[in-house]
Amino acid sequence: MASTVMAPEAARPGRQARTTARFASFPAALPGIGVLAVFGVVPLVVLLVTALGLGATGAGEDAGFTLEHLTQVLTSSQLRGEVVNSILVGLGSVLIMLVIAVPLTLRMSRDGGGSGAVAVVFTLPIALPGIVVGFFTILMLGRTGIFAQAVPALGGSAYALPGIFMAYIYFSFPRVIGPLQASVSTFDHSLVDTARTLGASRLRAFFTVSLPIILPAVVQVLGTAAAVTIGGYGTIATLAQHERLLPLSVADQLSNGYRVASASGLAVVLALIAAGTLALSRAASTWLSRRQR
Amino acid sequence: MSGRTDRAVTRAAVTLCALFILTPAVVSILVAVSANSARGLLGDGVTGDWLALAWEQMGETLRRSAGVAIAVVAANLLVGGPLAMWLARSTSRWTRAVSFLATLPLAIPGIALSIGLITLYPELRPSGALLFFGHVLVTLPFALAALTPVFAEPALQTCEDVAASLGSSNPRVLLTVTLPMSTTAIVQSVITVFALSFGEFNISFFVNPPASPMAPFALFDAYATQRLELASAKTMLFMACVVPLLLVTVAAQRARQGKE
Amino acid sequence: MSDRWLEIEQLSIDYGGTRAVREVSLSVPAGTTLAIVGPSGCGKTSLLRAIAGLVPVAAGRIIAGGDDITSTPPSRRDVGLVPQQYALFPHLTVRGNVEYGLRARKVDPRSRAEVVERLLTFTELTDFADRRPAQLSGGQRQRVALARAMAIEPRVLLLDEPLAALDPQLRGAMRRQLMTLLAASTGVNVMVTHDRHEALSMADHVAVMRAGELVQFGTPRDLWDRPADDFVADFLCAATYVDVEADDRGVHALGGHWTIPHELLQPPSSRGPARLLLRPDSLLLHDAPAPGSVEAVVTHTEFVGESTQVTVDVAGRTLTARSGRPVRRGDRVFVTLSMGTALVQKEKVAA
Repeated sequence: MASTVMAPEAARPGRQARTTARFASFPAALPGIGVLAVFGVVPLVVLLVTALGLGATGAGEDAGFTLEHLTQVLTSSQLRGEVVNSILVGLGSVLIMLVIAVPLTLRMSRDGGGSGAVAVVFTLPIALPGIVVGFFTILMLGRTGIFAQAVPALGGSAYALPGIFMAYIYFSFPRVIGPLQASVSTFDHSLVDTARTLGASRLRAFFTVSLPIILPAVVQVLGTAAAVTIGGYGTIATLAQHERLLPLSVADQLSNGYRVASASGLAVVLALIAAGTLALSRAASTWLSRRQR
Repeated sequence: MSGRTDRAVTRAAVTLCALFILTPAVVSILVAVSANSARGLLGDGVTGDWLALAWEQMGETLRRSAGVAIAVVAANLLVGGPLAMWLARSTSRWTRAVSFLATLPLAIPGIALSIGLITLYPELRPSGALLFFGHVLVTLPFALAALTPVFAEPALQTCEDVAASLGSSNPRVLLTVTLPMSTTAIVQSVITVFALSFGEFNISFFVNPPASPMAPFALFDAYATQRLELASAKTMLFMACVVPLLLVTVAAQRARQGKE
Repeated sequence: MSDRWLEIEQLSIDYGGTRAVREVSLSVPAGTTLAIVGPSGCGKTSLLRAIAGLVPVAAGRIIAGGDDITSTPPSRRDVGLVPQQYALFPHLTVRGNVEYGLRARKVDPRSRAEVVERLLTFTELTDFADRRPAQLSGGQRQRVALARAMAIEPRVLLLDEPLAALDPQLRGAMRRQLMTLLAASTGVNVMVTHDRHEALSMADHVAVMRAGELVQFGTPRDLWDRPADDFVADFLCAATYVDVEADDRGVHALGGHWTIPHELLQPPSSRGPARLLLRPDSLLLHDAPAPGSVEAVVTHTEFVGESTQVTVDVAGRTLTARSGRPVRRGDRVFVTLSMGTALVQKEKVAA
């Protein structure tokens, strides 16, 4: 496992047939559950209530039930574009990363090449917040970035969709490679050898043996990483000039003019997209791995 | 077969990926020590002035961020440790529901959570208490992910059984067997939580008390308003705070893998 | 008291809503080794964990050294535990492991050092005292686990599959060494195993369990000679019971297809229904009919080195025999009983 930050799906291990559960005390667990409830669940409920116009309202907002704050992502063409871009960039960057990472991690688990230095480098971006990743992109592809100095046409591309894509690929790199390395580490390479001795070409063996076996893990990684990239604010906040993603509007609604209900509405939509991606991928992953048994 | 070319191709791909990751970091360091980066990397010679200025402007903020991160780590151990133990070992049917709760802060974008938090608890914001709890909330799932599987390991529980049958009281079992055998996981969760809290920006964006910004805010501000060299120097200081910790975690993980 | 050092009375254990162990009673004297055998899931490990106090008891009592320990917490039972994978504390040295219980009991440093040195010498681990468990071989780990449990001079020493974690090639030698070490303990050694050779060769008393119940309890010789039922015969002796009816002409088996002369049987049979205990070496194979033989067809052969293990079909019943000379599948052979080896027992055997 090369990733510092493991995706917490392993939080429920197989329970052993034990009747003594030493140190497992519900009262001792309560403060933790309390934090999750008081600062996680309750704010989410309040967010939803506010988004429906039933809670706090801000400047120029009427109190009373309305779906307007939620449906504005459909009615406003600007917001519609942001939603599409958010999904495109969030999913797209992770998909591009997977196309690179699936063969790479398979080959690394077979051929080695994962020295300590490589493990550190591949994990490095996880310790960097999104804003730093955005800044890195400016250094490379900004108006005076080093690529712009070499190829003037690239100047300022950090702020256009291709540059934003690069930033999000960088951001998702450790979030894809790390969990994928962990699940590929148990991959049985003799399966591929067997397929090859049966006459399968390298490509055929990959698509008919390796990929189907690791697909549940790949789908799960896709969802987990995409949920983070879709919801991330830092990177786009640094790179926002012409192109906009949904998290920007969530923040703007609140900071410019304190439209709290509208901001909550957009936040709920953003949360639905991110959490929905995660939930869908988990369901698909479970379905796929059940089909293998 | 062509094993050697295979390995060469793998190595080349790994190297390319490493370059992709490292180049911007190296460039930011070079810009930070350039007198005038508009004239190219290391343009007009090398200087430490930007770093000195960055430290002068940001040292206090880094210290404050580290303080918050340490408090968040402590809270995670005190609150997350017993919770992880319960999740790992209890036969209660509620563990499933609580593990689901613990995935919420991962699935819900921080910016959305932070709007909910300031709407609900505005009075906690100025003191920084809301920032603290927000950070505990988003880091808790990672602490649980590191600790729960280790606490659930049958080998650990068998060692505890043996220690008890040899005459150890429960607190003694905890101190002499459970904690020493979980050291790697505990260190890993401490470092992960510290790094996450230190670099947290999404949930902090609205929750952060305006009077005392945290390190990522100082960076964000620098990116928007300051010279590239100074912004790079501040980024370099920030990385200097978290990257060494990352080295420790990776080393600890590899040591454990080597043992197995 | 010492002839009933460990006593288990009507013990029942529940496991997640189902009864894992049902009303087991047995007692063994001090200085002996009890083996609990049975197939996996028979409740033998639950019984062991109940003696250690690691699973709650639903009903019944456990008495060790004269004290009722049924509800005593594990830390005050004086029960030494050697788990299957030994569960050595990985963060402590060999010495640290062995002295763990003595430290927990606040034994003063001088006598602690004395006990540890004695046990390290006894288990031949003195040279490894400062090593960590990860640096030891499987056999050395087993001895550390044993020394650690013996250091507290337990009333009962519990061993869960003590040889299962070792290489099969090492097991013979380790079994002999383990027996020497176990002989030194003053309480009762309780060993759980699924291997009948281990149970028969190492224990003074054997308890056979199946589906949570005690099927038979006795000395290895008792069980070998008079297994209580088909299950014990098959599991412990690799033998088969065949129902017979004895009259003046002989003993009739397999629905009258096979009549065996009285003089081949040991002890000589009385008249009436009985059972025949057939072990692989009880049957002889011939090419031609012989007095008291029955015709059979070879269904499977397996060369095992010193002989050939032959499975034959006799009037629809499958039996196993050993043959010195080669036979092939499909061969027609004639089976007789070897002189005096098979026992006829009364239909009702006391369990």
